[in-house]
Amino acid sequence: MKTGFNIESLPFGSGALAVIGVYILSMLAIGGLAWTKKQENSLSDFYLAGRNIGFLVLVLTLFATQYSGNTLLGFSGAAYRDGLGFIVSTHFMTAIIVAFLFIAPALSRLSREQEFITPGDYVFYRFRSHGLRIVITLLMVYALCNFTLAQLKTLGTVFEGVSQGRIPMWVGVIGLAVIMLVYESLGGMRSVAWTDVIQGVVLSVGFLLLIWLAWTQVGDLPSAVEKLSASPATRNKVTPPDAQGIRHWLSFILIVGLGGAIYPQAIQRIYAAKNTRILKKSLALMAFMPLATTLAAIAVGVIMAAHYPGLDGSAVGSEKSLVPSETVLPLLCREVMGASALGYWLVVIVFAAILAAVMSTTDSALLSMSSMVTHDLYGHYFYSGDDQAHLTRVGRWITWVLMIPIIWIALGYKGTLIQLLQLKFELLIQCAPAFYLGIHWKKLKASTTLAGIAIGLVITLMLNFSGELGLADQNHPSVLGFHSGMVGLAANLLVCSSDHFFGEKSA
Amino acid sequence: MVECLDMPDQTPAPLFPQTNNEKQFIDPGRKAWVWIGFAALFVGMLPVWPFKGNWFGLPAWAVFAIVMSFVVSAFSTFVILWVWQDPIEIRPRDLDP
Repeated sequence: MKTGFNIESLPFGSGALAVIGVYILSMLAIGGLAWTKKQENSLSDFYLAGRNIGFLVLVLTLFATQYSGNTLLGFSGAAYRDGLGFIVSTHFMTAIIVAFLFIAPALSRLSREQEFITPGDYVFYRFRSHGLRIVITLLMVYALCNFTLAQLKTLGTVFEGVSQGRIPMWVGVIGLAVIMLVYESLGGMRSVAWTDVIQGVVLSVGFLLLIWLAWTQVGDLPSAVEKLSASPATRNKVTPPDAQGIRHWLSFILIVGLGGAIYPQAIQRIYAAKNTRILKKSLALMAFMPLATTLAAIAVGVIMAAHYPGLDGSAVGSEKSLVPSETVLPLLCREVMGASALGYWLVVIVFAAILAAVMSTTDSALLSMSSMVTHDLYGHYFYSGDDQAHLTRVGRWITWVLMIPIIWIALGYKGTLIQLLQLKFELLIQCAPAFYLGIHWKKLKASTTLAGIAIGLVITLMLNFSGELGLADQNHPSVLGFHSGMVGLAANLLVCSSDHFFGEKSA
Repeated sequence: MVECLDMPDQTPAPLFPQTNNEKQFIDPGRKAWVWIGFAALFVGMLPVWPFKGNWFGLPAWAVFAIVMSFVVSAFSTFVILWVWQDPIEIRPRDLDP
């Protein structure tokens, strides 16, 4: 069994570091520019860019935030392992936009009228419950911490690889984290959104290059499919999933679709749009992004599976290497880099795109975490004043403080990128009824919603750790193909529906 | 100062402000036909259909799943741009020079 391929093995030279250096300096310059464009010292200006984000910036920040390094590295690796069965990723990314339609129209309108800053503001406005606000805020902060640490792990690995090991992973993680913290502290959402414009463009170019490189340097997709079909060992990568696999598809679509749309940073971009017309146009364009992005990653994974078999196993070898199947992209890049000078620079752009994807996702998650801790927790329960300048200063400090434990965990965490993704959604999805049902069901009460969340969490965690808790022979992260989070959500929804069918008539 | 956390539930706040334009606000989330349409399309996206052979060199079931994904994207765009109506799409301040 092959042991995988390190990014460090790619022959990056000083030119690559120079490109990365220019990219990083541009981020800092944008942060400085955003500082000069500050309108006022308020949470609304810092965390929502004054609710004045225009179409181009909104589209690119939505794109850059939603598509992370996971999409490029992790998805191509998952497609390598699962073959065409990972087309489910196109569906679940599309499902996020569909799920937005359930909440965005009413939420954007409410947020303009009531001047929401965080998802917690909507929760309190709708349910008038401090307890529910705190619980949902803590769950969302947890989900974002989980998300951020996965991105930082990727960041460090990529940077270490590009530097050929000259810059250790921990230096890369801390260094790039400090860069993000600096430009975020300077301009808040403006910095994040404006850097997302550059990151979104680089990411788009990266996706296009990726599929073009794989197709031209390794082989086209039809011949890869033919090769995989010919071998009994790999035929399963091109055949449709069985009944359990189909249930798993459905579960994946629902859990990512429903969970992705209530990511705090996604909700805050609904709040930050200049107006509804711009929000609608942005979402309409985003509806087609899954086709352009995930299909590229899937094609790369399938092409590489046909031409470089044997990387399906679990991680072995150096701690510095990713799980072998997730070295698929670096392996492709090595082939391309060795072919020509043009190939070398194209790969540098691809890795710049990965860096951009990770940084754009991380900075958005970090800013959103800071907003919730500052506004929903500190501002409402530990600070009795209303000084926006004070709260904004505290928000900047909280952003720095939050990073410390996340970096510490990221430097020691082991596991595939996809597994980290699933663990986050399992818990975040329990907040879904508060948004999807809360907006449309006037009878839904805070106490019922809290009970639903509690039951959903208990079931999800019990299934995930059933083996370790002694409840079963082994852990059950899925049941009959359905993620444990979906089983928990089903129970959660059952509890919440009791208000709708048996509750008091609304006034 | 920590506020009381066990504040009793109160009557939910109105979800929509009371304005003269209320009747013209159309939320696609409240349209049954929109969600029936999406449900049908999502069922269509699942690899449950008995397609055999290859289309354009790729397994037919995979091509169909991708085509359905495109249809869902197109339907989403239609719903966003033509079904979702908000009479206050542009705020007065957006028109300021």
